[in-house]
Amino acid sequence: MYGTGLLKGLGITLKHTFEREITQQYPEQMPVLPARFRGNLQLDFQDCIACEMCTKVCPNGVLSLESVRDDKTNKKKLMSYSIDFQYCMYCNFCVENCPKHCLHFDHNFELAAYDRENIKKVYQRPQELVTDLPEEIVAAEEKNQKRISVMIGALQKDAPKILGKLLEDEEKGKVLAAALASDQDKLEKIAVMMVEDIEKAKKVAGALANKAAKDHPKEGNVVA
Amino acid sequence: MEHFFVNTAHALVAWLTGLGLAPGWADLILLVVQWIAVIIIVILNITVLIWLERKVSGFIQQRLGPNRLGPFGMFQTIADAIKLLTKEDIVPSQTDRMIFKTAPMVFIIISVMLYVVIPMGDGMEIVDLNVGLFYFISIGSLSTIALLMAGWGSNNKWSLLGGMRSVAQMISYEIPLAFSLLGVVMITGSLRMSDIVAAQSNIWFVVLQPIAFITYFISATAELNRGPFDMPEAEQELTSGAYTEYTGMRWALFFLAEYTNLVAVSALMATVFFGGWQGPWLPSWLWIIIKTYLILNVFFLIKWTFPRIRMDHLMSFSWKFLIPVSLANILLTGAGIEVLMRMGW
Repeated sequence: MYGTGLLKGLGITLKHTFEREITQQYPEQMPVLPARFRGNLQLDFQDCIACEMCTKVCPNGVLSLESVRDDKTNKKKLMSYSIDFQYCMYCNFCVENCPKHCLHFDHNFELAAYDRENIKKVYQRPQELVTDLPEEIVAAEEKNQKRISVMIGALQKDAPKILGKLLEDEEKGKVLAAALASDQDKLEKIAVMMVEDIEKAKKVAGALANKAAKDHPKEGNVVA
Repeated sequence: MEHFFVNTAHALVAWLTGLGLAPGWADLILLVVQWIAVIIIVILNITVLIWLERKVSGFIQQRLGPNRLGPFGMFQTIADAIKLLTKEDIVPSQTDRMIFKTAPMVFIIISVMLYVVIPMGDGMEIVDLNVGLFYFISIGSLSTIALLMAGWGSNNKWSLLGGMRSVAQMISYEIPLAFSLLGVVMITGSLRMSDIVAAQSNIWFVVLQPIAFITYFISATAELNRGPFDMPEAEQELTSGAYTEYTGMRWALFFLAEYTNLVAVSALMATVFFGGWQGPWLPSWLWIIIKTYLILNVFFLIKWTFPRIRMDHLMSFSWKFLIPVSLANILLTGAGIEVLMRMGW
């Protein structure tokens, strides 16, 4: 008969009207995720043997690690492990390949960040594990830290001179020093770079100086 | 409670005449007050209705509907109205300005005019016309002009198509709409709304005239341009049909008018087929509101259930099915009345 289909359809919608809503009110109501959901990649730092199986298998070069060899035991020790998550495609290869099962995906999927830097996750060797590193490495690390703190002190004291020397241009050094005077964070970063990699520090400082000169041109130098 | 509004009106007139006003002037002021009341009801009603439709459509699709603003999201429509009021009022340069600007006003005025004859309760018609039903149908069919004005004035292909569709559709469905109501009129012997309500004190006309009710329901849906017969709007085909070029409050006026029409037609349906304001226990004006809202919910359910049908199917459905059926219903009703009269009822 004509119209039975229409009535059937109305019946279906009417039935659905009184059924439970399937909407999840997300921020208030977290979704129930399946057990093998791949969220954020996590590392158990203690278990890692720095075998680099994960970094080799990663198709996008998300993973990188630094390690040192302990001459006494002839074993590698993990120093730092970084996950540049913006390139991860959640293929699970690293987790499958890890012989110590120290990588796993957790259920956290809220990974949005305002800066690319904040997406990258770096695991530094925890303080309590530092002691079981070979002595000379610990000593080198301590020395490095000392040099960095000295450098920061020096920069805070007389930035224009040091930066001028770094850039081989006194005028630029002054400009950069003036720009960095209000930005302790960047100053410290440059200090770290100057200790660890002077070439990189030169490049970064040069770029920053150029930017500073552009943003705050001196009255005499303004190009009409 | 039953005669609250009627008594208030009488008191107002008595007070005004007591102030030394001629009775004619007092009635005129009462009329103005009634008009303002209708407009307030219309505007308040639409905020509730849009919220209700969004909520009902949400429930039908197992969603939650608006739920952020106020209790159960009830203030969502108010927020929407504020948004629409603050929007830029764009009149495209190539439009027929006069027609473009008047179309929404014409539409809303026509739809508010429908409320004149609807009995909102016992003795609560603004004017109890002796041709009430006829007035309703004729005013209702005028809204075609508003849509055609909008479509023509916009100077846009989609708008014009939407306007022409609305003319074709509304004129075609006017006929079964009027014919289906004729069955009721034949039984009552009057076009006066109060007579029609009074005739249903024993039995609702939906029982006596089921075919008329169904044809009326279908053609009313088409007259209101509501889904599944929303051809003049037809978002997926004509962007927004006759409303394409409208923005802000002008666009909102079309919406307002459409919902106003919807309520008017639902109220008429309640009056003609479901006993109007008659009902036990509760006051009469509450009964008509309850009945109207129940019918509105059926309209919502239908809109959110069926997909839009094709334009030519729509037309042939009217001309080849609804009109013959409603004509047959008139014949059947006439024959029935004749037989019953001969039997001595």
